[in-house]
Amino acid sequence: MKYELVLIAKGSPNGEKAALKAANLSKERDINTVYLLFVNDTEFFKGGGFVHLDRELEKSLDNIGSIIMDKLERVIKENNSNIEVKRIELTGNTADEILKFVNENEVDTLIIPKDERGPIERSLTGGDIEPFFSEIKKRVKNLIIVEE
Amino acid sequence: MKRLVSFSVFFVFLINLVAFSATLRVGGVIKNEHGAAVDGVEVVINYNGKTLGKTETTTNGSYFIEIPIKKINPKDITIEFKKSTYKTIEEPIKNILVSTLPNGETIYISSINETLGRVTTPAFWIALGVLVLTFALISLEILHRTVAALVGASLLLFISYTIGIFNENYFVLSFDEAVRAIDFNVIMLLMGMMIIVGVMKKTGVFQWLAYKSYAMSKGNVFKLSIILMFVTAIVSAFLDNVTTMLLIAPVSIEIALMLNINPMSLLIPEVIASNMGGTATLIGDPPNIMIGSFAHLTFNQFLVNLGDVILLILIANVFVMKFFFGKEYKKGKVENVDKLLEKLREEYKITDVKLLKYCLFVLAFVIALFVTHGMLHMEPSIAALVGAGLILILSGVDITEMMEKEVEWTTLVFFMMLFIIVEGSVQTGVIMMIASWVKDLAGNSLTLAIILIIWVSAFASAIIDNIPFTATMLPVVAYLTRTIPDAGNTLWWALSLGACLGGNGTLIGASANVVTAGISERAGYPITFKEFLKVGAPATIVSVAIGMIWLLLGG
Repeated sequence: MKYELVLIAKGSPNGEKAALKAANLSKERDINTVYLLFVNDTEFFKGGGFVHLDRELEKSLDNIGSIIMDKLERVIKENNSNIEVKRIELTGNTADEILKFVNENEVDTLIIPKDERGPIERSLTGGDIEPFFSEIKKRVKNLIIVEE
Repeated sequence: MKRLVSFSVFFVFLINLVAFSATLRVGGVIKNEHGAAVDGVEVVINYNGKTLGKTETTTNGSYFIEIPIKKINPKDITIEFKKSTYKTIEEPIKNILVSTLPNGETIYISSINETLGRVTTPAFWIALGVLVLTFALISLEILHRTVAALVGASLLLFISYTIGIFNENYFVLSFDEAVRAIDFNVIMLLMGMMIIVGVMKKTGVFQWLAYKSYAMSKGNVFKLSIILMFVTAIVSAFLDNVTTMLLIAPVSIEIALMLNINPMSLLIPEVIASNMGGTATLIGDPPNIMIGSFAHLTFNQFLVNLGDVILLILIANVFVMKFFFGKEYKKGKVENVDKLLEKLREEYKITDVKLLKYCLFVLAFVIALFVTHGMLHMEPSIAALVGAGLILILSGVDITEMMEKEVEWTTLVFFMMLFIIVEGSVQTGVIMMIASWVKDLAGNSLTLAIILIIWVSAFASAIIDNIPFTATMLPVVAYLTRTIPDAGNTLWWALSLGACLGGNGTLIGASANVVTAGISERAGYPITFKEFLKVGAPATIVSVAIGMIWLLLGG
């Protein structure tokens, strides 16, 4: 499937900045639809409590994902009221799912908000996609990284 | 002729009876330099290089050996005490009392108590190496903690039963010692609580509590933060912190996102409160479960001695959180509070009211048993197991599904393996060395010992996992409690406060911190090590300082 503009959904201020970028880009290039992509990634959780909570965690992240996408959709529509916003929800390791998505589909422009994280945080909480940027860049026509 | 043969046989028998008509009885107690009984010491009675008899000391360090002896001078007999990692003692049997029985038999009795000194053998270094490596692997999350502990424990036993068989200097601990080291009261208590929590979570009650906290706050974000802190602390007093945060944190993130505030401003106070709440009860935090079981402290003792100081610490930390997040709280606004409430009510309603009623009944019953277990001389694990059994019957939940998909067996295996690793350190003298260092620093001063234990525990817990740290400190604190005058249980409270509160110091200080950071990161708000430290370190210093003053004042 062909996607003109895909935005990786993140709830941070940087994520909102990226949504703004998506709205402006869609106006410039006359794009009708922006796709919000959220990855429900529970892989950082290696257990350690009393009970398995993978299902509950997935459901919670699902709820959080909905709120994030609601927020980003509002930002996009505030800046481009003519745009249609559609949602894509994937479940699994963030990097793997994004790579799989760009491999299986034709993505014109991909916007990724990048929040600063140190080595300790990356090793503890995972979800790292920076090492895969070059890989992703090969598979999309335009890769836009929105940094703080 | 027949008479002659019978008489000869009887005469020979009589001669032999007279020849073997002496018995040597030796008994005593073997202790180490810390005054603790040493079990498994080989006791050998020798005469002219020949072994006359042998035995082993029991778990309380005592031995008794009785051997028939021929006409030999008992003063020529030696006794040998031997155990790997201890200095061998061989000495003549002294202070022999002689007694003659009415049947003419002579009994030689002696009592020999000895203190065995340690020797540093390769086993010492192996045990120390495995202990340090396991700590590092767990704290840095290089390996899953259960894998790290399993590898460590199996390595100690493997070395003992391969190289250790040919050279006893490499023998760390026996299989029997390893099995005895596993505290099944802790394991059963954890298992029982896991089953209870596993059923309770199906009702959605924990998430409902978070939604209700928002409802009570009526849109005031600072009030919401306080309520969430107290709700999290209370839940954590009965559940483990990781489970508490995994269930409550996502709801808090949702609320934060809808209020347009940084979720960190709700999450960090919550996770800090969860580590505090867990400190207040016997079952709230695994370190407390281990301390309670080892030192035979009851649920009531924990509540009475730590409940009030934890409440004080929690109140103090409300102000600490206001200091750090006050500005963020002021930013919070939601256009339509009722709409948000309705959304949360729909998402986080109780999914099974009947099941919840059963769960609350069982929980109340289990808590009642926890409160009375001391009077009943009942291990707290029995309360948890009874509760688990009851909840399974009342709820009708499939036990196979519960065991396979709900209970975290990896956590139980982790504890079992950890006990073995620590026992290896006990058997080889590593723990005794640590205990001696601490005792040298503290001397006979209870004040100094409290300060040392609480701050060192807090600092260590901020960096390494508090469960293996606590497991290592148990015999150390036991030694200090025995040797410092008027220590009572104070040093156990110091260890509990330090080990539990210290987890708030850094992001890696507690597993609950890491899972909270993970969820927050998925929401797009990563909690960095620096950001957590900025809040966690002052919160920990304030908390530990209050705890220390409380203990020094005799609280």
